[in-house]
Amino acid sequence: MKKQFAHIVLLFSLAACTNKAAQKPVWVNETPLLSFPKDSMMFTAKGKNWEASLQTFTQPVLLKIKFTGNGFVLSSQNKYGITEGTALLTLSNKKQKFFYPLNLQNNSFGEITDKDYRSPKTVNPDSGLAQHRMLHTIDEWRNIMNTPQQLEPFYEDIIQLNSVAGTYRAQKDKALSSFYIQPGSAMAVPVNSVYNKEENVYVVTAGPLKDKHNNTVANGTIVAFIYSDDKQTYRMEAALLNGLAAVKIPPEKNKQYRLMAKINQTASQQITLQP
Amino acid sequence: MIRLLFIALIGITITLLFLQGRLNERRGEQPVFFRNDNIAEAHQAKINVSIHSLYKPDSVQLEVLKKDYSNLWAHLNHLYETNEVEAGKEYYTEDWFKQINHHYIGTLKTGIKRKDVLHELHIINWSLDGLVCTVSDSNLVFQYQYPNNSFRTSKANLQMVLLYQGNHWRIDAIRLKNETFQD
Repeated sequence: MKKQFAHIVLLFSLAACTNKAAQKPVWVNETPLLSFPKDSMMFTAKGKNWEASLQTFTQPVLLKIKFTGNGFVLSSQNKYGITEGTALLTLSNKKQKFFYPLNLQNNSFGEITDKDYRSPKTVNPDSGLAQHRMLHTIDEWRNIMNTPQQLEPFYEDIIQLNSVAGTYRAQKDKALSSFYIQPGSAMAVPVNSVYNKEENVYVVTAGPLKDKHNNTVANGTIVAFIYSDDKQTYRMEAALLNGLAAVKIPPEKNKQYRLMAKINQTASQQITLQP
Repeated sequence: MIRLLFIALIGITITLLFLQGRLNERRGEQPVFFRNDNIAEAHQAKINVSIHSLYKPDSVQLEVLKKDYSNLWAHLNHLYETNEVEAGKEYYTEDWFKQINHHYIGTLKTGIKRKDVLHELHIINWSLDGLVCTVSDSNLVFQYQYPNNSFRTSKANLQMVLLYQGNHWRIDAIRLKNETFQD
């Protein structure tokens, strides 16, 4: 009998050793809109087996927990902002979890970045001077912002660029925002020749070559010099440099050459090479 | 004596070479075209697209966007559940990846799973070169599963900036306009 009684007492003691379910902590300074990472959250709770995380719209974030006499205080682990919007605060005590829905707003925008995307990046005036522009603004934590000038966060338009060839920046301090206006094709090919007595050559020069907006045609553009006498046709090529290209043609005794310079289908007037 | 010194010298040299070889062992991350994206492959959601931009994507570009958008959400949901930042880096821009790493101190399983069921994707802007896209996703339906196996559905409205880099559209920024839970 005594033994049985002792066994019963032992059984009851074992049952008493099992853990009681934790009570849901009370959020003392509960707020529907939490300013992150500035605001801290105060809870009254029993025990010290608590872990806390903030389930943001993007990712779960572990919170720092500081135990006080009657509970604990939660705060951010670092100073970085977060994806704003709906969130869920999770308090865990071993296997139990308690949830507190809330909304998150960053305490500061951090470094705000204005984005200005242009396309095409390289504009050729032969095709036109129109460029597509897209604008929006992002805070440091990758939240899209509404700028004061516009009600909607996204803006696009088509702008007309100026016709002067060169490298430009959509945003002054950002090299990555550079875009390029190329010179276009030559409108006309002026050509002239000079006979150099010392070298006994005709120095034939094409240029200065300009596009329709008066930009100097791009360096490296190939100019073909086609010249003929009564029997044969010859061809020489030279690349443009600063709008000019030149070739030296040796004269033949008693022969006259008729010469024309061409860039693709744009041709000069015919000139006669004679000393 | 000299023989012993000689043997010791050879032994040290061999040990050094062996250690150098071990140190040079690569971590072994496979290139992206060898990897299988199980997370994206397992993902299914209905995506309806409408276009409001000045320049419009062609049908091939649209299909690529839809596929990458679906894969992106697979990884965003995985990130939501586990805080595993590396799995989806093919679908994150560098700035987005840096931001999520600010809050990464290891994976963290809260036990809450999110599934995106339906998207109404509105293309707000599409760049002429097809490399930048801004979208609004309205009536986005989410299903949440909690650790106690309960479920909740929500409807959300959000905006996103996507950049085409490498082989994929990548998330660069987001704005959750609202999310309403349906109890």
